[in-house]
Amino acid sequence: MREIVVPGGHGRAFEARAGQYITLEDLEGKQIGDFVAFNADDRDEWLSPSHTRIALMSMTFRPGDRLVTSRRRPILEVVADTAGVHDFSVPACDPSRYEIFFGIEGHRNCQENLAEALAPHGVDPVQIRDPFNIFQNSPTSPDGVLALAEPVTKPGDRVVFRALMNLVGAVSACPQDFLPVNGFRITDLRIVVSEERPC
Amino acid sequence: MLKLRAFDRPAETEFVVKGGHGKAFVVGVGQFLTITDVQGQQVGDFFAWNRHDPREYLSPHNTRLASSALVPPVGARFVTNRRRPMLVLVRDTVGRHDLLVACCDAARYASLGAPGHRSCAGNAEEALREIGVVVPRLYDPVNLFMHVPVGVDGALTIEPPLSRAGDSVGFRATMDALCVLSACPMDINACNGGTITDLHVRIRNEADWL
Repeated sequence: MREIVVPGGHGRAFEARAGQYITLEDLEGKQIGDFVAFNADDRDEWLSPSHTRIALMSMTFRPGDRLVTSRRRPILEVVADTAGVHDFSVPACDPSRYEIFFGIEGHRNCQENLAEALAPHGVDPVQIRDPFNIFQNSPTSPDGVLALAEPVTKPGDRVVFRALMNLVGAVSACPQDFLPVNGFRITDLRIVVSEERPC
Repeated sequence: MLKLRAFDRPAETEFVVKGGHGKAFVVGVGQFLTITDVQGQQVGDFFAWNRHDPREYLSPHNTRLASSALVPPVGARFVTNRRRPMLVLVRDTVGRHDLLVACCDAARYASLGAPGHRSCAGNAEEALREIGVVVPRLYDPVNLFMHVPVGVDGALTIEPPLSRAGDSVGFRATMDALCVLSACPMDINACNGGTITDLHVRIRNEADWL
């Protein structure tokens, strides 16, 4: 079993082999983890939100669902989820988000956190596409208006995935500290990679 | 970035994109691009890149966030992966498009039991090859006229487009753009109402629908 704490506002990478379990835990609650994953044998195949939406015919995922890659192959199975609210429609925050929308230069951001964490694993920044925003609460109204709301998570809420191929992944504990998306408080996440299914 | 001078501007033009096929073209900053659904219920998968730097491309995902909407309204800026406006939606007689789902590709048809079927990904690659352009990789398209309602529980369905013969969308380019339009060949589900038909592209220096 390997345990990695993702410090709030920063990113960490992990590796998992097919069959292993990946648990992402929100230690203090209301903290988004931007989550990306790549086929370990070909970094040009990645966990893809747009392909997963059409594979599941859904904007959300539930236990039992299989998330797919850019080549429509299953890469993760959702095993357990105590949070129930996640997002995979909103891009990762990046320098342009802070600069163009908010006039802030040099703010920490998920895109660069993921790039930093994945650089030692041979992932080029341009290969990092749209993330799964675990624990993010971005409700859509019936008329299609997107909102950015506080997560519903409590301390200890978690999602458990099973890897369906050997993969390299990364999580950024999102540093967005002035929108409701992290409850205005940036905290740590924990990644656990295990052989055994967590109880 | 290069500033486009008036005489560098792509010539005004119009052409048909044959049903099930794709076509590449350029639009200059300030020009108006109109895409018309000739017979109705035909989806157009639309891809675009900054003409001067193909690492910058039209991003449906950034566009949804920029407009706080699943289907951006008239006036919305369609932005790139660097969140810069590339096109502004200035006219839309349908109001229903999709910016959520990936384009059809070889793997999609293989999974539907139709290997070797034409696809939007294949059409885009073919169209780019025709004009001798190599781009780093296809990104997700804006699926013009595609009708993918979202249920209250987040369930997606693919319904026939709401577009009728002659319906169109108009954009004003705010960046020199290399574009690809594929008249989606999907004839296995309701995506194109069961019949694959042509789209029409018009590029003008002035808005010509006024």
